Amino acid sequence: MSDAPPLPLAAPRAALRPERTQARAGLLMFAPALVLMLALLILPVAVAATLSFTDYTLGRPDLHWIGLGNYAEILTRPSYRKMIGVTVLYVVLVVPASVFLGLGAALLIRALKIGQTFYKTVYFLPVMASLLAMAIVWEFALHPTLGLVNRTLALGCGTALELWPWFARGCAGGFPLWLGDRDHALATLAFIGIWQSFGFNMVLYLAGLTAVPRDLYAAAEIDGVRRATERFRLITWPLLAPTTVFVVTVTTIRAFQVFDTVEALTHGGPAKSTYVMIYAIYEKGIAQNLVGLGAAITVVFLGFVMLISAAQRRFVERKVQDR
Amino acid sequence: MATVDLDEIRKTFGGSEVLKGVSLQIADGEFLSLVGPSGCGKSTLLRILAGLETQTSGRVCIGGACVDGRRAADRDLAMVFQSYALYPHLTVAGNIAVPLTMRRLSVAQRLPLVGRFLPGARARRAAIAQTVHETAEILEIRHLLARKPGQLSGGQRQRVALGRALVREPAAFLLDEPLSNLDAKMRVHMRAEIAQLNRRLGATFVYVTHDQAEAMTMSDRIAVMMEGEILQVGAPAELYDHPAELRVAQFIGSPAINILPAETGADGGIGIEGRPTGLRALARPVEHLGIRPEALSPCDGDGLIAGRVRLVENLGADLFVQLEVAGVARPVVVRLTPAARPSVAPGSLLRLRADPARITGFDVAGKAAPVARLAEAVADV
Repeated sequence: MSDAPPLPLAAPRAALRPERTQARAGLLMFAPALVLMLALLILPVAVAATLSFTDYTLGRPDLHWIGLGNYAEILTRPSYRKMIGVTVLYVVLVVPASVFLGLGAALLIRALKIGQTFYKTVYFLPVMASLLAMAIVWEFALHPTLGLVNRTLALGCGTALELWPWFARGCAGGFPLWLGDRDHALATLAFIGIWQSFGFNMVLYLAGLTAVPRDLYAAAEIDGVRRATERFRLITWPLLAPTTVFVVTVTTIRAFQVFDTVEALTHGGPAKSTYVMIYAIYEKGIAQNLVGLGAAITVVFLGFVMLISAAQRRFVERKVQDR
Repeated sequence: MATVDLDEIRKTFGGSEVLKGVSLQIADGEFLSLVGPSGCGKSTLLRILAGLETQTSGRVCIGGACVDGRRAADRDLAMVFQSYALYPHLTVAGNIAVPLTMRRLSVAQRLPLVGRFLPGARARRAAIAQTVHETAEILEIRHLLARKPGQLSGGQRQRVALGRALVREPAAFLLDEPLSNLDAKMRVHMRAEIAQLNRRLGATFVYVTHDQAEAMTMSDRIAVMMEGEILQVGAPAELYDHPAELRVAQFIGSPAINILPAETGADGGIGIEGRPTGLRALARPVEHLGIRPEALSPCDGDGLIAGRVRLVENLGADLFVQLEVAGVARPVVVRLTPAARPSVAPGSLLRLRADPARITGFDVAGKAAPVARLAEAVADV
């Protein structure tokens, strides 16, 4: 600050405008926050964005500018196109199930007279547990021959369950390999993702439900609303809208970020059927040192996240205008 | 339009009895106020009448038919809540229409999107919109129909809540402290409007409030409740002039009634601080005398009581003078005309007489005990 402004006393014009000096003071006070934000948030993104236009690999002294080469590769190479498809499919599988199970669990728990805390704890356990540790448990449970899942299914063979064609096929030719089967691996990971995340949504919905005034339900009863479904449609669902917007956003972003189960259980396979974006970033950018390509995938990933955040903002702003 | 009968209603919450056998008959078209301090059980009683809570024992009958065990939606009542309980995401028109859509449309016709295209739905929805408009007209909120509750002031929300109650013709209107969230000026305004609405509709109103002024100004009859019991039911003037109990006397009226400790001699003569009052207890010994502030007036002689002026409150039309009287714990309040102001400087001595006809005696249990002037009592003998 070499050209620091003269003190207000020395400059009568500045003194005439106290809001100016105040604005300057305000600027000074938020400067640390601004610097930190630039250094810790904006700068890394900018660096990643810059690197995504190069062929940089860690340890190599030189670096070539390749323009949109990395992006072209992402869009043209089948394995990367599949990566985007797999990620989006995972999100589409996980988000609705996780959100509605969370809402359903919250509504059921609220309706309980006793045992609310018990159920809250049980459903919240997967959220608190380390997903990596839980992944090992799931790996055992889903083992094609020794696992709890397939052994339990095998118990059903020879019963009426065989009338179900899928089940009969399983009994005859063996049940799916789950994580080792490219048709089932992503769905299995999605199941684990739902199992892990809906407890969190339940807690958010429980918090949202406490904010719904009880008087509204009494008013609805007096107004002649007799069915639980109509009560839900008239009061619960609309009043939970802000919670839902938040829950959907958080769940979507977290689903996009799925990594630990992939790393622990499938490593992106079989046949790249679980090759999700964050795993690809890790594999290219860190494991294989292809920093430029990893950075390009990161930028695409950030694009998705920004899109979700922007959509959430739109929703919230519309809600605020409504009130 | 119907009568409402409550018979021996009891309610226990986890061992504590909040309603101790309340019975009340409300006539068709009557405006009855349930008034009492907070926690006296008046809101619980209203919720039991509405069907939002179940009584532990006792019967609720509306229009001659007992509705115990019938859910609130089937009792054909309308209710206005203290919080207004408007649906925040619906417009004013939407809010007012809810009771009609629930009753006039079938379940299928109420369905979103498809419901509108079912046969008959269009005509019925148009009829509902028409009724909503007429109701809005009565309450002068037609210009607000497209707004959401969040964009309205407290008084406007109050009107919408009333509109939602008025839009169909229920057996009775229940109002649970509907004015307590409004500012003082709006409250006075709305209280007149609600009373007028009652006259105009000729409908039964049950009005719960903790504010005795609201009850006094609006009601045909008032039921004073305390600690889960109804102490007295009567017209406002009756409660004011002839309270059945000390607690009723103290609750009704502002400023509050003056309660003077008294003693009754063997001959029935009543004295204050050892000085005879010229009054005589007719039936039971009198422990307290209740005298309204306006029943006291300054006098030149000995009078009934005398005290030093502590504070003078000038309300414009009235002058309330607080006196420090020996033997009386709380200051004695006298209502005077503003013309008397020069004679009541703080610190000066004021002697007061009371209109014997307006003195109420209370016995040791706090029940009203008849008193009479000594001369009259003698004449009776």
